[in-house]
Amino acid sequence: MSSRLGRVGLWLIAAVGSVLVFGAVAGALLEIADQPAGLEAMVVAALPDSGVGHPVTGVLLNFRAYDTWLEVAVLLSAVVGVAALRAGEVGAPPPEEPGPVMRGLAEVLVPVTVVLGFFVLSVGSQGPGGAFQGGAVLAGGLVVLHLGGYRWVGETRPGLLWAGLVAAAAAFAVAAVAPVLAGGELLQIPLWRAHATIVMVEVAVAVSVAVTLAFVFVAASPHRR
Amino acid sequence: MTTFELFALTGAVLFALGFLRLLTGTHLLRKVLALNVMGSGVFLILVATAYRDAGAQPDPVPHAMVLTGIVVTVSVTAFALALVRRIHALSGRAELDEPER
Repeated sequence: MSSRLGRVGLWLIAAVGSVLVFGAVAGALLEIADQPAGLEAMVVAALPDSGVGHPVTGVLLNFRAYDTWLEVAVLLSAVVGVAALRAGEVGAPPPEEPGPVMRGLAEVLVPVTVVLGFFVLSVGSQGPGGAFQGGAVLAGGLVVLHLGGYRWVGETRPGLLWAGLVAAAAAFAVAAVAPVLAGGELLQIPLWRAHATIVMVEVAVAVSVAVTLAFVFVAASPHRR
Repeated sequence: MTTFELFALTGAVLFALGFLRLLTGTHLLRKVLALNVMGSGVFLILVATAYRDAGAQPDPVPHAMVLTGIVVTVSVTAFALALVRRIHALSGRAELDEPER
């Protein structure tokens, strides 16, 4: 089809299609512009039942925990895909030796990201912050470590790496199934241990997010060995 | 123009621009980037919809979705890039066939 239409025709169709897409999205958005925003009143009203004090964390790890569980599973699937593709890779270009700037940067920056990452993780139950944000900061530290020529745990201990990669999905599974064994519903976390459960899941998610993002970065860059 | 309209329409523009390059780009890397631009547009729209009643507390539900969405996007992009690299390693090129003029 495209050979008959040619390049100009393809651009023309794509441009018209993009304008239509923009029109549809913009029209829908302008229509909801003066409607009251969604669910914040419900979330704030239900927050005492969530076990945490911050609405975003309450939504993420209690009210919509099923959603977050699935997203953690998507992360794990991406990791499995990257690992499977990397296994058969040949002919990667030789790595460059990291310069003194990169090495020095890693020495200064990595301790900072560790402190900052765990701080962001720990404030998540009461304020802005939490597992995904803290995990992302820690991942940045691991990437800088790798770029500085240091071998992080993902490169030296594959078993520990995979434990970190599956930690979030496993913690969610425990948190989800434990209420079922006690005769409740899936993910129906009783209030008296909601806080402890959420903190456990958050720590696991932070670890998994950190090693997942660092792993996919390192796996995508040229091999060092 | 309200804050919501400004951010939401910017998101719609990003989404449409990404869509345009997704359709017209022949290099696979360009398609991956186009998908990322589309995703950024979606995130901007979601964050904007959370803040329609200016001054009130923003809706935490879209915020939670964007939060996980960003991390998921990074890892899915990494998977897409790994696929592009694999295609390049096997076939020597990372482009789709150009349509003839």
